[in-house]
Amino acid sequence: MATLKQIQKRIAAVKSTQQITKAMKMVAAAKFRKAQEVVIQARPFSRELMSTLGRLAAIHTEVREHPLVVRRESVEKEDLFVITSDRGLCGSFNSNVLRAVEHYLLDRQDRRDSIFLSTIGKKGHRYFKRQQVNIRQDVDDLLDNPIYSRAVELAEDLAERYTSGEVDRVTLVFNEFRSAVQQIVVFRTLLPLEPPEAGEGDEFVDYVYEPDKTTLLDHLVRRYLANQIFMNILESVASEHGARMTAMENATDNATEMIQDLTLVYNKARQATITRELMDIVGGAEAQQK
Amino acid sequence: MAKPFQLRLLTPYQSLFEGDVDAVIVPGEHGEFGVLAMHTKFVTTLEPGVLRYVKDGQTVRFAVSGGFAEVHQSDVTVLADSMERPQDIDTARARESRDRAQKELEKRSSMEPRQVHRWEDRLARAENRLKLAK
Repeated sequence: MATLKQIQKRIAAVKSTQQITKAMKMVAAAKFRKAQEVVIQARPFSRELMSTLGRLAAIHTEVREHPLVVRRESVEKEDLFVITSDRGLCGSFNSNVLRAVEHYLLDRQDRRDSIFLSTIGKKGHRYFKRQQVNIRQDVDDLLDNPIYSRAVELAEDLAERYTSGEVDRVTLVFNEFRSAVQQIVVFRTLLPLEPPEAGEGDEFVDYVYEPDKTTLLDHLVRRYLANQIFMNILESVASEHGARMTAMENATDNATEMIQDLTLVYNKARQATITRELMDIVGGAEAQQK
Repeated sequence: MAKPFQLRLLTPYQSLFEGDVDAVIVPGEHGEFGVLAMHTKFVTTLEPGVLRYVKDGQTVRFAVSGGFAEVHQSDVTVLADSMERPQDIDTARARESRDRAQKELEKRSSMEPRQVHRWEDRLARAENRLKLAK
């Protein structure tokens, strides 16, 4: 049985841990709100791009026949882009993604050598560095402060790889945002690109194109790819802060529970000591009376 | 007085403007072009440059770094990769970006064409920002 002093020390330790988890929860909550706001702000642009491309795809075969849209008959070489977080303490946020990728690789053991991993986020980078996998690149400047022009550059790289036949498919693996408590790991195919469907009630009017139709449609298809990357990164960031907020809330709750349990143990021990001392006194007094 | 039409300025970071304007001048692929109401239906890519709109006789300017614009008869939608008002431009960052790009481009002969293209784009964007910020 632990001494009173030891129990007291443990209670103090749990309390100070709880203060930290509480503070981290508050910080995560603030960042979560901000990340959500960023996603909301980005939506009108994304929606408009989707609707424009959707309408043009419906009337122009150039979109369906675009080199980034055309499917390959068989997929041999592929790129996986894995989005994790830079920091830990966010529950199973990172491990869920990493495990999903591991399973994906295991299921394709026979052509594992032709799967190339790229990481966005330090956690994934550190993890795969120690594994037997092909690492192509680590994109380390998109998570903290997502800049659209970087997403455009990344999209250009991928488009180049795809059109030159270096890869037959590019897939993004990330935590899709459902709610602050729920994130789901998804594999989203970036290339071949799935052009958006036209919305209901869209008017199909043809336009005058500058500089010319082919260039413009090509530009739109590429921007659409960049936008997908950008939006999915924003979503993963929101998921990360949501996951951290939830993880830290659970940790704080667990600490509360632990403090209660320890306090109970402490009181019992104290009670036992007092009882023992009383027994001693009573015993001593009785012995003197005899 | 020109007939007003709807203008929307969108970027991946935010919606910058939504409302009626009298005219808009956009930096298109083939130079700047102006749009008044009842313009023909039209889509164009954008070059780094200055976008202006006129409302109640006031001209409002933005630095645009690329993207595209869609013109319908009664509305214009601009989807820019980025767009900033002159007062919102981060001149320190733009200057840093310009200097970096200029330095990289000194080694252009040893670079892949795609790499050169990328730095030229960055340089053009940075210079465009600095021009408007002054």
